[in-house]
Amino acid sequence: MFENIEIPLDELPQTSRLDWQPLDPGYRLCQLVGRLLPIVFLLAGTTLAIVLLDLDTVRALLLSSGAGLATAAMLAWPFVAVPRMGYTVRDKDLVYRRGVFWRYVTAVPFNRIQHVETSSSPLDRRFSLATLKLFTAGGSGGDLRIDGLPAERARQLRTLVLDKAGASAPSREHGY
Amino acid sequence: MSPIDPGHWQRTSPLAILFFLGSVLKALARNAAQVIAPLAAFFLAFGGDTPTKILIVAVGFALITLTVAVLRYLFFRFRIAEDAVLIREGVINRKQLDIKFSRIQGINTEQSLVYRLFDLVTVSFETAGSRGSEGSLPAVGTRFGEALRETLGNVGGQTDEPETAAAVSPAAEPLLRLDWRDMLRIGLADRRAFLLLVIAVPLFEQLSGDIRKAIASAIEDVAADIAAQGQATAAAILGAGLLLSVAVLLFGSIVAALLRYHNFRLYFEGGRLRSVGGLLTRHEAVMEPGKIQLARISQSLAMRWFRRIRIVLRQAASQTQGAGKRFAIPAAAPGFQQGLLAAVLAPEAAELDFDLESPAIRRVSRRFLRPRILYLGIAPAIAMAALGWFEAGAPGLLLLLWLPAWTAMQWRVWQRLGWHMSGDVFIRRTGFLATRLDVFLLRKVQRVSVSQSPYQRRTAVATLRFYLASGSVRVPCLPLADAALIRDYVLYKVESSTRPWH
Repeated sequence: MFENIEIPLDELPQTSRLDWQPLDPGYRLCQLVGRLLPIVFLLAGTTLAIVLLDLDTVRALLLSSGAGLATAAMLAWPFVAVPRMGYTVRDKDLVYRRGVFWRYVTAVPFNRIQHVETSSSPLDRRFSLATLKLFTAGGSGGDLRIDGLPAERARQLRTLVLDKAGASAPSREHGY
Repeated sequence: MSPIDPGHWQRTSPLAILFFLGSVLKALARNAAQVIAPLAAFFLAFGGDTPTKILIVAVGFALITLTVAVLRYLFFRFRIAEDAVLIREGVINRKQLDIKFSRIQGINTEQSLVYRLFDLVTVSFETAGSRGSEGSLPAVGTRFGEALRETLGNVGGQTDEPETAAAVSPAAEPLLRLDWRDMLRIGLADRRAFLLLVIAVPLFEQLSGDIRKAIASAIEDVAADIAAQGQATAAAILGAGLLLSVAVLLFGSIVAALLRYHNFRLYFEGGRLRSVGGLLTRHEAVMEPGKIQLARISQSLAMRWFRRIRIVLRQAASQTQGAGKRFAIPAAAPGFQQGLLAAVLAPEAAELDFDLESPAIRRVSRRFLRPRILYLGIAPAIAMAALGWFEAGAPGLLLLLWLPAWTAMQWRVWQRLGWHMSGDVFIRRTGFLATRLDVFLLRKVQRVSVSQSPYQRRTAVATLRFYLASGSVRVPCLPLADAALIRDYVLYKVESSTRPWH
């Protein structure tokens, strides 16, 4: 029989007030190290341009101050962006937030997850970090991706998510 | 004896060679660059007169493609097992494809003119997986195709909404039938013809300087000739040329509609939607209502003129966007969507209003307009006008007209933008000249995201985005509290739903 029970909207579990779990503190340093190489290229390129093109003082100053600003922004970014990322695992879904200027909060119900992936680059491994990716059907606009998790936590989350999604998922991924 | 014989590997009819020939030619067309290179080498490297060489190439080409097609036919085998369709194909790269019945989302059949003479069809299976895992059985008997559909229908039919079958008349009376007047409407309303015109102009701009100069000078020569005969004639010739090209495009577009949709009929039987149509090649598509992720009702300007709407039902898509998993009803009278959606989205959508102008549709916050007018209206208008002033003096100020034009456009976009949510269904309306209504069941949502730009944060509005298995639906500039409430409610619906989403 078809039923239509009224749902008390005020008593719905709210995603607006959550205790956000921060990412690994080492993630900032990891991102910083990852940016060193591009910064070196940027500064070397600027120096080369000034020397080879034989720019006058005003232009050289403009160019080098631009490069300096870009470097400062690249170095500061992890310290601004990483504290604003966070995730919460609830009984039925995982909520992830990110963004400094444009802020996003995305919720993925466990019973819609197709498969889970953890990965870590060589740099991540040095800081014992890992990335968790949750895939839902359709694959439009990229699936949920959480960078900078402690490697151990990423593994725990993967197991947890698979267990929660497990009732409907026919096959499971094997751990490494 | 049932035409389906489980347990035996079988070949399709030899006429399947035609199908393979088609796919070989398609593959060649896709890789035209690689084909042209050796051809050019052949023409340059060997002596002899050109006609002989063309003959050699033509004969060689025909022989090679025919051989490949015959080989592919000989290596193609299939078997209908108890719970899966098994396909073995490939000459050099052997390919084994096992499609479980439960994974099959829809079965489409196509019957070209030749196949119709021999009572054969090509059956293709749609799955939710990646593109490479889709199979088709070329040139099997019509009876076999029907029996296959019957078998698969029984498997799929048990999973979802058996009650809808009884609710709507199971008789073979079509829900909808399109006649030649509808073909005219579909053809005339097809934007693609006009899109070609629009694309042609910037393409001309893209041509390299030399070619453009050559064409331009040729046009000038012609223009000079025409001008010599008087301006009235010139205008007449130009106008006639323009009219002629538009007429040709429209004619082509009507012919395309006729080819695809001639004698289009839509059935709802056994709990499944089925459409048949086509002039030379008969297309038959089947869709299970349970697999529908999103229904889009749209009305372009031309369609509004003709008082018709277009309905597209979308299934789960693989990674590639719009990979053909859609069920289209190219034209129907307004109001037809009401009964259709109530039936295919039953029981959740039973009492909803799917009219494009439904009064239940709510507008988003007026704050939608301000940043758009400020940053994309006022700022560019001032910048362009300033530039124009320096370059051309007072007439440059005409560029300020950008502002009212842009504002009027955004106002219209805001007026068309709206949403409505019932207990189980979400409806979003968008449009500028055309109007689109996107309808989906809340339980089909895959994930939800709420985002805020800096401006939205200051004014407490947010953008809500639903990700479905067939793409995403975005509602900008809802009051933050509403967006959060909708998200929490949709999450609750998804997480408490026990019915399958696919």
